[in-house]
Amino acid sequence: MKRCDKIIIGAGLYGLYAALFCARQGDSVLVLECEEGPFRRATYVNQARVHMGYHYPRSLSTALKSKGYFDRFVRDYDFCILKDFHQIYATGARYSWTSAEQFRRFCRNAEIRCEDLAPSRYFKPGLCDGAFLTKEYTYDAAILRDYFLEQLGQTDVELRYGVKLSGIRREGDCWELDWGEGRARAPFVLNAAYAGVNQIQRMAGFEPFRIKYELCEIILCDVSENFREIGFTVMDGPFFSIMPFGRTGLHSLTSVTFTPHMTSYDSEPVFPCQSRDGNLCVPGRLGNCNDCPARPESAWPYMSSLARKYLREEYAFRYAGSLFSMKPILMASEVDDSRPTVIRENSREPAFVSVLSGKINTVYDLDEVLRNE
Amino acid sequence: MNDHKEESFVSAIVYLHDHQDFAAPFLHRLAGLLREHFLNYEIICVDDGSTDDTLPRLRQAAREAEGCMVSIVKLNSCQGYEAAMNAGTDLAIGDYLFEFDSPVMDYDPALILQVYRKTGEGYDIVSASNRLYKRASSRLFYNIFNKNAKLQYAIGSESFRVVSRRAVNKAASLGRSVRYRKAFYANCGLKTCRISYDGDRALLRSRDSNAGHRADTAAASLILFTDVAYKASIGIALFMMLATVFMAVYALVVFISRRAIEGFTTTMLVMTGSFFGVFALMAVIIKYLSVIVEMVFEKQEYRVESVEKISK
Ligand SMILES: Cc1cc2nc3c(=O)[nH]c(=O)nc-3n(C[C@H](O)[C@H](O)[C@H](O)COP(=O)(O)OP(=O)(O)OC[C@H]3O[C@@H](n4cnc5c(N)ncnc54)[C@H](O)[C@@H]3O)c2cc1C
Repeated sequence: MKRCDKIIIGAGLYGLYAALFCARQGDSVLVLECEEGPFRRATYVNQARVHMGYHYPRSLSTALKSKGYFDRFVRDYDFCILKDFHQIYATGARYSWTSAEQFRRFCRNAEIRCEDLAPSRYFKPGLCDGAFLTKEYTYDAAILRDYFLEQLGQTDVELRYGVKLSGIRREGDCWELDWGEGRARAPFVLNAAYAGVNQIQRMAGFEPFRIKYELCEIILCDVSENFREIGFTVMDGPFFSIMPFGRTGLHSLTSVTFTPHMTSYDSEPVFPCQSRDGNLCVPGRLGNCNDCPARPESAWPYMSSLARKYLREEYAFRYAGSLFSMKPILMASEVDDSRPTVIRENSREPAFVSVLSGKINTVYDLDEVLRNE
Repeated sequence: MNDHKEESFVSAIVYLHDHQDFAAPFLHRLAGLLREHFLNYEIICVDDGSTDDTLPRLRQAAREAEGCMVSIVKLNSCQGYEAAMNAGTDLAIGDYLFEFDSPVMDYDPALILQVYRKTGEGYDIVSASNRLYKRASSRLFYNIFNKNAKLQYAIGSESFRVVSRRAVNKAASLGRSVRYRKAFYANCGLKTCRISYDGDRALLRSRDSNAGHRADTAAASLILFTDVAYKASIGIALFMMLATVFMAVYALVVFISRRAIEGFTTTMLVMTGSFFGVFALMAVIIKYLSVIVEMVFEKQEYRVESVEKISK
């Protein structure tokens, strides 16, 4: 039986950030991860956008808050961030909830960069009514992962991979966690399992988060030379985004309509593909969608047609691969729009805290629950 | 296995308005044909404010359509064929767009493929028209229209057409929402062709829905694309001006020949003078209106209530 101050479930960004934070304040920490390594799921398989707030043209307060997170994240993790490309936002001429003028005004109020460009320089005629040069970056998960591993290596945090948890019990003033070949106890547990958050809630006997699940596809593309240093995001509605994917040299292609392949409204995700994957993934134990043999066929024909409909021919892109991951989305009732990341203190003494993150750079929300008095 | 299938991404857009009996069978047949012959496709149904059972039946049929992406655009009120079709084409992402003017399929589904293949011969717009469809009112309309509009191609009544992305972009670059799409396509400078077929007689009466909006579109397109209405009204105004001048001359002649009753000439002169003024003013107003009409139609927009995506 291993004893420590804090047990963290999940080795995504949230788990490893928490581990490092706690180690630095002198806690002994154990991280339990079901995969064979860190950053295998959402932290790697996502659009890698360091959000500035442009996505909230209909909520100024959220935008202002995002800006603060943005500055801090960029300062702290500068080494994994790609900055030197033109991030171009455009407003769709049809079906957009926000017009060019509204977007302009919103950026002015939020005091975020927004310089007018000629839409015709990038987009086919009549499709976008505004194009804007903005300030937004992308982060590289592999570099970030190596940084965390290196930093954690200088502490005595223990990372255990391949852990299939089988039980979580309260024993006096501690939580006791069981898995096949081991057992550990601590007075503090952080549930940072993201798409797996509810299976941990259930094991510990706590209320599940009210979420729906989307099985998402991020397409990676090779782009033409003139496109290397440009990212496009067309909004605000059924549009798309194609922008650099960290420092990989590839672009990610996503769309509001086609990135989500399937949706599950169950408390723990239930999908038809789970019957075809040879038991790697069941509703109570979510597997890794990216490595799954039953992962869906790519939506490349749809997403590429959508992007080509808008982009001028000279911005060429080719299919390079697909990444899949599960995205848990909080149902409306739990969403406080100004705080996309939800932290729940299920119990104190012993403490059991759960986090469901909305964005990469809101990871700092963890500080207040992790800090020892 | 896929080598006989068409590579292009096609979007099929269908207009529906109170078509509860036709919606589901149409969707099934269309999805079947697309599945068989195309690698990549989507179907977009635009419901133009139906008040019958069209929408629920459509949803049901969309859920049953295996391996097919169906979007249902629901307009928030009945806005007419042209606006509804624009809502559909704006959402479409295909290289080629099928525009079905109604879900009444009075032809063999294979015709859809035949029309599509014609684009391979260099046509950007290919339409299918029912030879048997000869309603007097629409014949009259097309006659007047073609005589006066001086488009590159004559237009006629059609059941559906396929349009290349190039043509759609071209229409968009003309900088206004398409108020009367057939006329736009016929005049966008790209090659057009029409395939005629003998439609199912039993369905001949089913295809006209939303007659009010169609008449409205017909009137509007005559005003927009031809100068028939403008010429007629200006002509009448000028004729009336001329008539008042004659009246004035007549009154003066009567006065000079001293056969007039006391006060007749003054009354006549005041009357003809003011009528002249009224008609002159009208001529100016008509000219003025014709300019405004252009600008107003540029802003013609549709209002969408919801877009629903149903797939697999
Ligand atoms: C498609 C998509 C696009 C996104 N785009 C962006 C974006 O552009 N910008 C942005 O800021 N955010 C984006 N996000 C959100 C962002 O990815 C997440 O907020 C963030 O990665 C969550 O980090 P995490 O550490 O909580 O989750 P994860 O990285 O998923 O980590 C959770 C870890 O828990 C482990 N785990 C799960 N269940 C168990 C279990 N039972 N036992 C042990 N371990 C378990 C998992 O294996 C995983 O390693 C996107 C998300 C998705 C899905």
